Amino acid sequence: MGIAKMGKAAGALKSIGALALAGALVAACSSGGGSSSSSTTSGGGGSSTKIDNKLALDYTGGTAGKATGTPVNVGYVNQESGSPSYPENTQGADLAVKYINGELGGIQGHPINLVKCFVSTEEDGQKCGTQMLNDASIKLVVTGTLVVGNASLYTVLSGKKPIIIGNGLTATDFIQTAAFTYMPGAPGVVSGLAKWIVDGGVGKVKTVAVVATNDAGAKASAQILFAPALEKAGITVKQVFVSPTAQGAEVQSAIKAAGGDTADVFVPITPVQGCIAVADAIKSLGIHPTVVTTGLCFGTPLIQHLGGTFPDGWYFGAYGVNYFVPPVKSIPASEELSLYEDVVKKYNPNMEYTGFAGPTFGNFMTVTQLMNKLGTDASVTQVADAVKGFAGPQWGIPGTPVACGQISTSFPSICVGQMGIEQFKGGKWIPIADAYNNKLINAFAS
Amino acid sequence: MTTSSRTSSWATPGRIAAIIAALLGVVLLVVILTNVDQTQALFLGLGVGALIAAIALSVTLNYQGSGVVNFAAGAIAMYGGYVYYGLRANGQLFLPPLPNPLAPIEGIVHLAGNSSFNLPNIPVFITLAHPGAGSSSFGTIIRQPAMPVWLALLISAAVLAILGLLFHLLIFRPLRNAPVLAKVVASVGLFIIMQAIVVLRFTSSAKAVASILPTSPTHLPRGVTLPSDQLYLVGIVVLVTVGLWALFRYTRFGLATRAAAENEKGAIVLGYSPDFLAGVNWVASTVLAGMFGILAAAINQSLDPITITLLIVPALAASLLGRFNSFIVTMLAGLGIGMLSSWIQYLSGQSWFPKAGGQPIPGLTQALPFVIIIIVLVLRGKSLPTRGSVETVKLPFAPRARGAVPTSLIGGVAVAVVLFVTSPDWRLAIVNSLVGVVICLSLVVLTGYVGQISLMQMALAGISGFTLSKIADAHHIPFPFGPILGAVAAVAVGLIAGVPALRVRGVNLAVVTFAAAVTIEQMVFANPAWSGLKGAIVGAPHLFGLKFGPNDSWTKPFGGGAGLLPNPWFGVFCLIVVVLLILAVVNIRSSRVGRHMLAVRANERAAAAAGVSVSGTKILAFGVAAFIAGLGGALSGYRFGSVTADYFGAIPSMLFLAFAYLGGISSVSGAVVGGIIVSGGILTTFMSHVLGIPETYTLFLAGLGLITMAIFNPKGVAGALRDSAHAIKGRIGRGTTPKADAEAEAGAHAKVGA
Repeated sequence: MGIAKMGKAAGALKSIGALALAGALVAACSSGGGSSSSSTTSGGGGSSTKIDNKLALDYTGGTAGKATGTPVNVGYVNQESGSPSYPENTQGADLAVKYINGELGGIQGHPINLVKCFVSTEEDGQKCGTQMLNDASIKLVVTGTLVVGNASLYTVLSGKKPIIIGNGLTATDFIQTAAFTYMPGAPGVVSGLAKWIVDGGVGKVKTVAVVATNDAGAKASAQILFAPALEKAGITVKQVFVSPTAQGAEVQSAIKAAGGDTADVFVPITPVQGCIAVADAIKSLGIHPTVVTTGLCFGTPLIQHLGGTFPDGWYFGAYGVNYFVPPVKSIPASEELSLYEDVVKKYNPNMEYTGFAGPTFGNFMTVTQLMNKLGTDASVTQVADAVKGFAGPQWGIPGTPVACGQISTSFPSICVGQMGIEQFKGGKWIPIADAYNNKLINAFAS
Repeated sequence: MTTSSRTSSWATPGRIAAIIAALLGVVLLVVILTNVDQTQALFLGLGVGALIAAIALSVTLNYQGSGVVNFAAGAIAMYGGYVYYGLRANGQLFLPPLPNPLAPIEGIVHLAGNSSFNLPNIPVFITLAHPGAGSSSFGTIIRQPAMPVWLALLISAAVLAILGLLFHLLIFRPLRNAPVLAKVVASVGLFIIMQAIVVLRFTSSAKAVASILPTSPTHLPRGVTLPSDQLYLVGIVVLVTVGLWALFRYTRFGLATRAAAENEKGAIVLGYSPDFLAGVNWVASTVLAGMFGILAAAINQSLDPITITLLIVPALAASLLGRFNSFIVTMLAGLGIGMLSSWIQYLSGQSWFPKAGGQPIPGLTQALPFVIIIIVLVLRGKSLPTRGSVETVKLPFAPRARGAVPTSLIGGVAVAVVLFVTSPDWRLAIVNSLVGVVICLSLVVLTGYVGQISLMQMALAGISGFTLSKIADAHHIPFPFGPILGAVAAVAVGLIAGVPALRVRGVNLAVVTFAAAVTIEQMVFANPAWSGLKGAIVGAPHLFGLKFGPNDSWTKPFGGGAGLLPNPWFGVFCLIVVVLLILAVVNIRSSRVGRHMLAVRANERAAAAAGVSVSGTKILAFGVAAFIAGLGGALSGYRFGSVTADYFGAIPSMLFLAFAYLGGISSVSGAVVGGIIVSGGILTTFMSHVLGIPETYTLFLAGLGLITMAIFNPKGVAGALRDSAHAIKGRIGRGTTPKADAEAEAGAHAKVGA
């Protein structure tokens, strides 16, 4: 009897043991180092592409050459490993650090060390915030993209450590008063599109159909900024919201429900997967709307999906310069994009460079500029003041002025209010209202 | 042994099919006669409806073959899509993470100081072909597919068949006679594993999938235009349905499966092997789900780990409508749900459509399955079938806690001390675990004691959290009245959502509560009138001027200066709540009410015969569990300083049931263990900080753990530890034994009327 009981107990414990063993084996065979990690990279590797560093050195105020000495810690938080995740931010951050440490002399000769913390749950946001707050060596935190855990992160860090928001997607990102983004973000782009339509950018418009994803960011953009601006001008707006993962048949149905086939203008406010679905739906339904959308659409997944091109005739609202337009010497932001593409080719040619990676790269170029001015011994307060007081220009972003807390009362974290619009037509990109034709739109100007 | 469908019910599959068809017919007729746009909207839902129907057919096939309601059917479909994508685009077959027997050797050598020592790794992909040469356009390389469509489909089908067989042999055959809850938990584990593997191998970024079927527009009468691929898909679904119907009606295999579904013992007597039948059906349902997943990906022309996976929610509703046994009703229900969703979406764009916060009331399309389920329950109620198994094992034993007061107090003091002396990471982990314990306790009462499977406890917690934010905080209702108000709101919703439990039980109730969680998430939490477009903030708690929120500064005792955040006093607050709730739940278990609960769990008819009010006991349990979950939601709101829809959604509810089960769902100690293993809790912190396991593997291991526990130890970790302790005590000749405890529980059942 006793043996039987022991056997039963042993069986139960065996299952726990098996689980622990499985965990240990997986742990042993995996190469990562937990959700938090630290990385200092000092250049090298990649192809032999020659980069003209003058533009970057002028921007960062750095000294040509490799960074040495004690590293300067910079906090970095991004949403990864769960679903959804945005690893392209980290690719952009790693690329920037590799380049800055390898060729731009780091921060006053010291290499940047990214203290990374990845988020996939709300608990992680709080954990990362606590980690960044309690680490005295970290004086600045840069985020990638967070749709989960960002509220917790901001709650923990708010006013205690400066935060530069990377590619904000939710309304939570844009209502912060102690965290800032040097891009117009979704609110800026969407407001600018509304202004452009009202001003007759696509001719006389009476009706606009909107299909937006049913998430906080798209809803806020569509409802607080886009629709009211159009309705104020007497334009009828019909909005239909679809789930953030809506594709195929669901999007086709939503386009019809919003009247996308009959409205004067059809505006999808969705990430790139939604844009792909919209492009397919338009083809499948045999309709020919005038499509005005955001720059979230024109990533490489769309190009790959369409066999090497973009949807013909679509208008894209973004930050005012475009990866696919050759650099113009008189427009620094366009040259900065071009240099970024050279860095990609040299250090990580296989990475997805069109999405969030570029703006994240730009943020680290700005961080380097700020820290080069302040020095490595700057206090948290000094860094916070510098982050808030940064007057621009932001790397790769042509909009001016950069004035944190002064661009939009609804979205105080946004520091840049200008955006641009381009059209893809006949296989070419045509400047409509952007940096290339010097007609950037002041998105938040009344 | 439970019995199958009551043949005396008027609600036969044929009648239900006729009713659905008639209703659809009337709607169609009205719509077609009145409005061309609405006709178009209705038919545009055919594509989504066909996908729902396809997943639902797989669920029904699973249930017929093995008695498992497979919550992972959507995840299997998604997985099939990725198998095809990997083969077609890259020529690679991806493999799940497999334990590497060489890894410990490598680890030991590394520990010994030779970090350059490397042994071979198990491959992640098997390369079968290479993509064709690519061309560059706008700086993007456009590669040719690595494999022709037919070959990729063929290999995918073979892989899916092997997977189906493995699911049966490794997971569900051992669970054949396990309680319904164990099967639900195992399928949840499978759901988690499938998703985790895909994210590990492909990340969660969407992948472009080229179309397989023609996509040109097809013009139908009355100005309706539909993409061709949708019509092809509907045709394929109809063909498969007819095929399944014929298979199950006219072939020996199909009849045997139906016989086994009705009465396994009878099937055995007739010479059929339920195991063999279940195995074949698992293979068939996995191939079916996976192949439709491929078609779905090809029609969407995009693939991600979420979209197809979540089709399980409406698919479960369709299967429930088909009583988990009628393929034709299931197919019609799937198509109907898709079409009605599309129609509602069209209507939501109309100016007259009811609005909340300036936008059409959100979530109505997602709520549709729940509404349908409720209608079905009202119509059919107890005629819903349960499967006839040879033998079913009851839920894990619910022990009476001995010495709960001293144990809780001593344990509480110990944890309080640790909160002050440990590092911030571990302090945070303890707080997360404490909040997790609260949610798990609510499941102990509802599922562990009364046997009601709830997949909506996190949604109820969310009701409390949002009430705290939007009513209590907004109207300056002070602590502690705010969280109490939140918990009361959770009780109100919990009682309403629990009403269906009076008519259904087991896995049907799981489906109902899952649909309720989806509805609450989409209609309440995502409703701008509640969540606001700018989020739902929860202010830090304070009492008599003392602030003890997690981000409030604090001073170390004995003049130790400012302490690092999180504030340990918030942990102490959570700890006090947990200890009080533990004592309350222990008291419930020991009381007459607890005996009534266990009696209801054991046998509702016997309980009723013994004078127990089954309805009253169930409703009471739903209320108590909702109150406890509500307190958990309030604690969670304080913890993060805000509440979000995602955190309290349907999937987290599912995960918490799994955590509670893994810990040991029938005991308070199980809830404590469940809290330890929740996301961000003590175990995950241990895994990342001590074992060095990346969090990318956490979900995979959690899924693995769930399945392992469901198979080998349905009592959960706490039960295993308790058994071990009993065994050791028994060996040295003292203490009680599990059998003695079980006898005590039986005694409690006998004394229910006392």
